[in-house]
Amino acid sequence: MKNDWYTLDNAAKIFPAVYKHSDTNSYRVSVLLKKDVNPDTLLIATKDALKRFPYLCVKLKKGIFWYYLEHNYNDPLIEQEDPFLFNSVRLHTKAGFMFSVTYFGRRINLEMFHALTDGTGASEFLKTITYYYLLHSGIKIENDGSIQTEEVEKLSAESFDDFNGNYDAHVEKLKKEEKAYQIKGRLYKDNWTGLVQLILPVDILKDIAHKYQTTVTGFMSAIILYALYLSYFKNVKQKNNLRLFIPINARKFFDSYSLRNFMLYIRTTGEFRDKDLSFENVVDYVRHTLTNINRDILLRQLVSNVKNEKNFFVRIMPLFLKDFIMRIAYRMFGQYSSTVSFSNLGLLKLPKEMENYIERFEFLIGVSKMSPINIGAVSYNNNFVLSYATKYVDRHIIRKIATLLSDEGIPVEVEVNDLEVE
Amino acid sequence: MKHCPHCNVDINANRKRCPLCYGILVDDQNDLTYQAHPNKIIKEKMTLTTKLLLFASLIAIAASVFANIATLNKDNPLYWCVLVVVGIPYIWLSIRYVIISKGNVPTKIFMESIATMFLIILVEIIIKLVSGKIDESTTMWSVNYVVPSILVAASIALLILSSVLKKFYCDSIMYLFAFSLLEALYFLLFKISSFISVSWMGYTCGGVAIAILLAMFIFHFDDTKEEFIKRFHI
Repeated sequence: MKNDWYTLDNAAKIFPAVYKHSDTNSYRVSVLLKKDVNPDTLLIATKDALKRFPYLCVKLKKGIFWYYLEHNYNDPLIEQEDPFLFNSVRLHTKAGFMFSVTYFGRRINLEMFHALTDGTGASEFLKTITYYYLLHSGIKIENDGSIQTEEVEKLSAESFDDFNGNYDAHVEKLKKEEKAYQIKGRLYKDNWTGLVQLILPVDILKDIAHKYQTTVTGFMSAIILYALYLSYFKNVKQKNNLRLFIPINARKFFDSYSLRNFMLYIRTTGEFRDKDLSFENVVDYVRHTLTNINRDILLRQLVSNVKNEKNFFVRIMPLFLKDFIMRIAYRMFGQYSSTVSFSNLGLLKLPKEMENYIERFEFLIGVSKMSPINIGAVSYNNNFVLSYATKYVDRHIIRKIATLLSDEGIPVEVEVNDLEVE
Repeated sequence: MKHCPHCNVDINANRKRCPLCYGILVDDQNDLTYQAHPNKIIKEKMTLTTKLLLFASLIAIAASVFANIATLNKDNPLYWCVLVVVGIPYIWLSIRYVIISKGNVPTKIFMESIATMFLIILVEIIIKLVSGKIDESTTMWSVNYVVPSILVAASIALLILSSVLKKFYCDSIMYLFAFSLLEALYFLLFKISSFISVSWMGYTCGGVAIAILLAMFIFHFDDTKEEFIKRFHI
């Protein structure tokens, strides 16, 4: 029983304090197989995968000063997908896991509470679940190293909090960022979350992105910003600027193997107010933002995040008081520096033998009334899936995004989770 | 697969209208459509059975108040309806937060014990207040008998349960510690105030508090130490 507990990493500390059934701060990574999912096999696969990721096999506990994670001896539950997105993680009921594994038809969903890990950690876990699922379904797979199944000596590095590991008290904090434009809209009834997914061919998308001398992330960020600009800024005077929040995988900048939260972020900086912008101008803005990412800037951001946690008075403050203050701070300042979030998990790699059984992956970022529109993306094989999750009924932003892509000559396939109202 | 000529996108859904522009879709026989997402189902927040039970509970509370007032003996008034008025909501809360709740067993034992102690003290105070039978010399049976009995019974039950079923032990440690503190506090109040007058109950509480602490550290030293490190880490 000894040493089977973990402190929460720096990024995770806010999430338990602000967790609510209506705002679970979770996100979803899914895999769409080519055959219907068998829940019994999925349970066996999930249990096998958890043996490889012990730092995910935990439950959230309250200490006197901080939350912490303790090993969970329960078996994970495999359930049918809940039509309400980001609603299946239950920290204090069910088996107490901080993630949920659900299925619907051919799809396996991994919904993850953000206090446990980020999109990279979750996608590695889902890849391992899928690997064991196919193995237990009788498929022969040669693991080429793209699936985390062995190398248990990496476990210590994977469970390490690299926010604290890279903290340097001498580095200057970043300045407070200005308030960004906030999108208003009509909310869905019953706390429903709308989902529109655009499925695009990776090869064509890459060619078009290269035509604009940028990456796929850069091109898609520009498309999203341009769609927002056309919807809210062109010929309209706005007080606050348009800013896209883009999470950055900090592992490659800090030589980290951690599979707990280790993401930092950037916000686009170009000026959208009172300007007549073309798409090329927006691509330039994004290119400028992305090329300016470097270790020094990210380190300053990391230090800004960790500095408060290191304060002695914060450390000895009782947890209920910390929770109270964090809830107020989250409501007052939490999401107001960004207009929309866009996170691209990138191209996932799996062994060749698995390609015949997997159609695509999907990545959905959770939304709430405070952060009503978020966009996630992930690529696998030749499928790039853009998932637009929203609390608003209005569809004009995603329609603009789809038509801008289509105008660039990219074939667009659309899936939605709404029923048609006749 | 259907196609929206206006947005120039393919729609993987069995719909008549485009979900983006609401224009009419045209058929494209390239691919088979599958159901991408489960249908939206709104769950009723309260079932008919729950509504009926809630209605019956409220009627029972109202009926007991009216019956008590109608049959009240003015020379020697007894407000028995307090038991119903406080007891029924207590049963509802116990079912919701202890029986149906999927929280862990040690938490349930602790919460139920504390809630029951407060309920019984509250009932005695209300009954005595409305009957005008409370003054400085009043001896409270709830404080002298019920509270120590519940503390001792619950802490011993929790200690036995967590020793037999090892998986409960780590979840039980803080509650065992809390029970010991409450028992020690009860013993202290017994020694310094005249409010608690039943001496064997006071000594039993003090003794059980020490016994539980000793048992925690002698039989489960490593786990107890580890749990304290986890709970108090800064």
